[in-house]
Amino acid sequence: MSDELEGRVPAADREAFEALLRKHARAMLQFADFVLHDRSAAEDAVQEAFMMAWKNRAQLRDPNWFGPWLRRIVLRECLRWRRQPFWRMVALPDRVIAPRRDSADHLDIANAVRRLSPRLRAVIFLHYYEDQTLKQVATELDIS
Amino acid sequence: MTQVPDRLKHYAHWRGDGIADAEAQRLVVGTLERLERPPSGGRHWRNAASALGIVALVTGGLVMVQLRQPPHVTQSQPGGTIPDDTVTLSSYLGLQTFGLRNRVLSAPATAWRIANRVQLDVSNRTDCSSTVIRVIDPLTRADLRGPVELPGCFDRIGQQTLVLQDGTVLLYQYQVLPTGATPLGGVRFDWQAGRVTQTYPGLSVDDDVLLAPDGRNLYVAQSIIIRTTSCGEPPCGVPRRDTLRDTVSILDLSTGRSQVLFAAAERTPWSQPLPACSRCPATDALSS
Repeated sequence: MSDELEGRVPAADREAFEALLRKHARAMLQFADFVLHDRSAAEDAVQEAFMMAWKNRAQLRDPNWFGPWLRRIVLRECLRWRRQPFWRMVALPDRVIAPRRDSADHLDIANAVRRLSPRLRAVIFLHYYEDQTLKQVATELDIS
Repeated sequence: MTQVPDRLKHYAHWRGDGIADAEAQRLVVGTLERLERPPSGGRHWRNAASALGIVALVTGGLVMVQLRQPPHVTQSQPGGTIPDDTVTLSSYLGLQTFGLRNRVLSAPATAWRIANRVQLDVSNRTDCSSTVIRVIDPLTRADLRGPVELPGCFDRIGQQTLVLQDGTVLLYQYQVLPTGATPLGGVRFDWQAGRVTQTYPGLSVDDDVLLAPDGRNLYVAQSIIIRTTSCGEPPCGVPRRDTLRDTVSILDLSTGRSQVLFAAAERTPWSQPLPACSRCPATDALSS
């Protein structure tokens, strides 16, 4: 089912693309939120990544790699978001997002994670949340 | 002592699981809607206009300040006009007090502190099926009472855990279903007995709450986002217009009855309303 669905992307089938986005949306938002540690910025980055994915869908040579391919785009958008010029950072948000508070149990670990670079946060998320091996993480993020 | 990898794993799951699928699906809907729009530089123009507006406001503000300043006024001494007050700040580190005049920032204290050397330790299961609440000494992390397991997930309401007059605390309970997070409302938790003694279905985790001086009532400030859709029920509907309704209510803690004291006029928040759609985007996507 998954492979069949993902195999339809190069045909620019919008229905399949939507289904793929819906399938991966939560994982991408979770990933971006962990990388940026800012829910509002994460939503913006993910939506930009979805747009980029649509525009560049022809670049996806192996449709079965839609997830990792999309994740790289999301990571790129997250890194780009951190380099936004101030006039984009101050653009009015589309909606109010209540920040998720770090619970007492996580305060020190949250503080430590925030001090890491976004790329390292990405590694931590994939390894500890997605249960990927470090080799898989390196492959997925194209890092060594 | 818990090892760092375990704590990282726990933290990653705690943070990741806090994102409901419905939130992510909304981004998909937004993306599809953007794909339907003709390409334009609208967003960049809006951002540029925002930036220009801010520059104009700042410039105007500076000019106004300078115009209003009486001539030949010497700069006041630092702290001369600053009130000698202490404010409580909430950050990801916890709660910190800041002295406005002496500029002293206290060490962060956990927002789960409920009394001197008494703190709640709330561990939600990653699937939100249950929560273990411990009462601990924050310095030694020793249990002050045995752990209690309750169904669903729990969180605070407001910046700090609210301790009610009888010593119980006000918490927020929710469930995570396949369709997303489902709020159950506020609960009064008797941490000494280890049980929920009362529920307040109308309370939300995002509410600002203040205990009335008599301790019997709770003032609740809510900002409710109302979404109107043009294409029927979700997931088909696309937000056409958001409006905020601000209310202040008084909640009788013993009966659970709530009365609205004040309701602000509705207003369109933050952004321009999204354009109305004439057809359902999900249907459009399927038919294209």
